[in-house]
Amino acid sequence: MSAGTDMYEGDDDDALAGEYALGTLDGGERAAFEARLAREPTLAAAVAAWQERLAPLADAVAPVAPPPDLLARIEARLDETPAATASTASPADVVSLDEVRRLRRALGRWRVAAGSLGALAAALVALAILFPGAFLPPPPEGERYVAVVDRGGGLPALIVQVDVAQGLVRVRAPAAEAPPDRALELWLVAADDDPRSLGLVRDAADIRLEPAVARATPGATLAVSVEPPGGSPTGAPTGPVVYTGVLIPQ
Amino acid sequence: MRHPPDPQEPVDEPLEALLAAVARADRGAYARLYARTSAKLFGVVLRIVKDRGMAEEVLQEVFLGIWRGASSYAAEKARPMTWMITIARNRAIDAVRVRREVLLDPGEDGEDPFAAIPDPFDAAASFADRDALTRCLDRLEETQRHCILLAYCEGWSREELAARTGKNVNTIKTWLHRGLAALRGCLSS
Repeated sequence: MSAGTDMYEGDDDDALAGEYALGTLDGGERAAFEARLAREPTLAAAVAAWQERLAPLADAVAPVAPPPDLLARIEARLDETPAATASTASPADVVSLDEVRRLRRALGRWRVAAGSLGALAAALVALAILFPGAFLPPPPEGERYVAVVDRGGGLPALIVQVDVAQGLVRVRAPAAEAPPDRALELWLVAADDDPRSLGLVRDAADIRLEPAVARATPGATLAVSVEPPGGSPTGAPTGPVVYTGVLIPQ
Repeated sequence: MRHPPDPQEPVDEPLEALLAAVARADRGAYARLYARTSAKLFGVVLRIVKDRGMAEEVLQEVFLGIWRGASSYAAEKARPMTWMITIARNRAIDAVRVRREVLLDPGEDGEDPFAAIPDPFDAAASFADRDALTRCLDRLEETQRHCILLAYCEGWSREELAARTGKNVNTIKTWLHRGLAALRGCLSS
């Protein structure tokens, strides 16, 4: 099914799966790979096989007893975490469409349990505040997309709304962290294409969306990489990808 | 090394069963799962993030992830420990990637690329000569073996491996790919 470069074909898929399991995929590769993982069971099986092959290496790491009170600290946080009912099977722990639907259903419950907000609840609240329309009947599909971009748990780092009709990308960055002297760059990663830069991440900034990029939006993944100030000098991600998220129709 | 059975804490309770109980929000099973696995997972996390306080934060996230994700755990797809170690490594690597990027200015001039690298293979070799993975790793070229071990155990990225060996990222990628392919061939032979 590959219309991409031959880097993604044949035996090299297994090398990619191995590198994904190792954690060494870089730049847009990881995001592109995760976009494929969601649709290609054979690729997911290859990753699982590598995880099993490499797992004995963890035996080389000496166990270290965590502090005695850590379980109590975790258990205290369970009370603010929805019980294990989430359909969080997506490879990168990204917030999936199913999860957003589940979050919408759960909204009432969290409003009642208003004490302290768990991470998912916080993500939902952020969505609700920024996109009140998210809880109304959706506009016709194919016009607006939203992604909660995170790094697998915790607060969403970015909330990105792509409005294809208006040609705008709206970015909200409640918790994105850039290292000193580095910039965060936002990329749109369609499965069979090279990552396309959407621009640098700035909180509360709108980015103009070029028509060619807009056409690649459906089904794409967003990724954020660490780049030199001013952005990638090459037009492709050069630093590690620190956040990813899937664009879903809003 | 068996302890007498304890009705409170069944010996040899399969981790699959504990995870299935956690998926039903069983707090008792969760505490038993923590007792069985937290030291191993903390070791894995600490090895990658180094900083103890940060490792404690990451371990909390790991166990919250296990609580939330237990219902999506599929026993036919992964062994329980593999699944949990994967979560632990992913969270630990995510936690360090941003921080480490700033440390990565290469150009420390031409020192021996591997001189500063602790050799995790010493530890790997001690755990079991009979183990197939150890035997196959032993057959790899040293540079390939180092890269795989440092990536897995220390969470190093290609850039880190490149910066610390003085090689470029494409060389590291080639080493990783060749090493992984050789490892797979050896393990399946």
